[in-house]
Amino acid sequence: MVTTDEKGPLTAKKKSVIIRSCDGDEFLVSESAAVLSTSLKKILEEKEDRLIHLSDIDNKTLAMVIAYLSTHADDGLSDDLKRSFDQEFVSGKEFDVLKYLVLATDTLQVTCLCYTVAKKMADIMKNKLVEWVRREFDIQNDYTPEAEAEIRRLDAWAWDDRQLEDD
Amino acid sequence: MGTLNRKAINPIDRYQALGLKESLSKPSLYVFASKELSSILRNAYSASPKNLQSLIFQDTLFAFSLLPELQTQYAISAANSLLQSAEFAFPKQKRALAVTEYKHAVVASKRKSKTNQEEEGLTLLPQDALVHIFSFLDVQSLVSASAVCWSWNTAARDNHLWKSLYAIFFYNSDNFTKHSGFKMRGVTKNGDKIHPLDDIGNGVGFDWKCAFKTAFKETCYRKFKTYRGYCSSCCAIVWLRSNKCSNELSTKVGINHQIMPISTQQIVDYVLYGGLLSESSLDSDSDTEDVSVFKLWAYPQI
Repeated sequence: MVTTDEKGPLTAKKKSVIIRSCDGDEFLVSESAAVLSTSLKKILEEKEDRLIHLSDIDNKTLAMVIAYLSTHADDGLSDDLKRSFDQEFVSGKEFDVLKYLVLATDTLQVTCLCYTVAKKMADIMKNKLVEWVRREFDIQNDYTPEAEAEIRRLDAWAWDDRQLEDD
Repeated sequence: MGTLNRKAINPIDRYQALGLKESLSKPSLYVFASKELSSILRNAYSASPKNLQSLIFQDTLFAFSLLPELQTQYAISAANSLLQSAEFAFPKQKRALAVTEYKHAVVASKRKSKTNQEEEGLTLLPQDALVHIFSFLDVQSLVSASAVCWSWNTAARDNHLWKSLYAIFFYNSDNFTKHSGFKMRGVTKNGDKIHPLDDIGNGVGFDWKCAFKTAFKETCYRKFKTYRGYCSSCCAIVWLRSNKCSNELSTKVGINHQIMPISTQQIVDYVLYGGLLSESSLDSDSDTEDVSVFKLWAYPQI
């Protein structure tokens, strides 16, 4: 590891990285937290750049991701505490927020966060009506009525007891 | 069928009987219709009479012009292979027209998808993210998700998803089948697997969803209605709500939790005797009072 002694202000926090969101705000993150993200780790390995600009992650999302990374990089916390933090982290978040989190974890390649968020999203949509999912997730139905009827007919095997018994 | 026979004297009538143009206009059939058109272009175009050639040409252009409406990767790749066939089959002038039409369609398609994304924010998650999310869903929810919109449909059809579901439902269950005395139709009398996962389905065209559907309908519907599974890594009974063990910890991604579906009878055994794979299963319990439950879940010994 090359030291950053010459860089003045960073001397005191030479194990820190500055991450800038697409809104222009800067976040100070410890290096141990940053390297939990595979992409950030790669960037840090390639160049000794202490300022990383993320052009497609906004303030709100980045702040959440960093909170997550910092917690998981904290060696003082037990696995149990981290796990309950994970649950707390995704609970009560709206689909929209989770969506941006998934996109951000995709960019940053944070495997465990991606897992947690994707699982949460799946839990939200489990056993819900198609209409509910569209409404809650604000997804436009781009099927023609015929196409939708066809798809539902073809997929009826997963639910319809009677049909299955007739077969 | 009389009308069909009478009509189908000429190649052009037969071609029209295929109703390709209509099928192209239906989003659910677009991919198939354009594949058909593509092979007609490659194999029949040069031998066709002039009037049929011009009809095929028009349909090809029509197929390209529909592209902006479709917005799925499947449709785009289907149109792309159609273009290759068109370049192969058409003479110079028509080829140029077809290429132009295709390019216009692709540009229009991209523009539309961009405005869509701007309008809907990022409703359209990238396919790989969707597939990842869907990997936590159970069968019913996964099938349900495919009815939400086209992009979800494509993701929920992902072959790997269905392959792993297939593995959980019909392959890992091999152990439990032997131990508990259950017989599944997927397993022959010798215990040999009919569906060794490694041997089939490595081909590109293999449809795991279809395979799952067939196997699900045939064998295991009743048995798996409990939606309970046994995770061999955690040694615990878990809900089979997704194709992953619900105890799988986010901090320990990478450890493979193998789960297999279990029957109500096995849950009862588990409660009574603690062990799941012990030989204490069916025979000793066959005089249990709750015969209806037994009948409902057990499969007759073949």
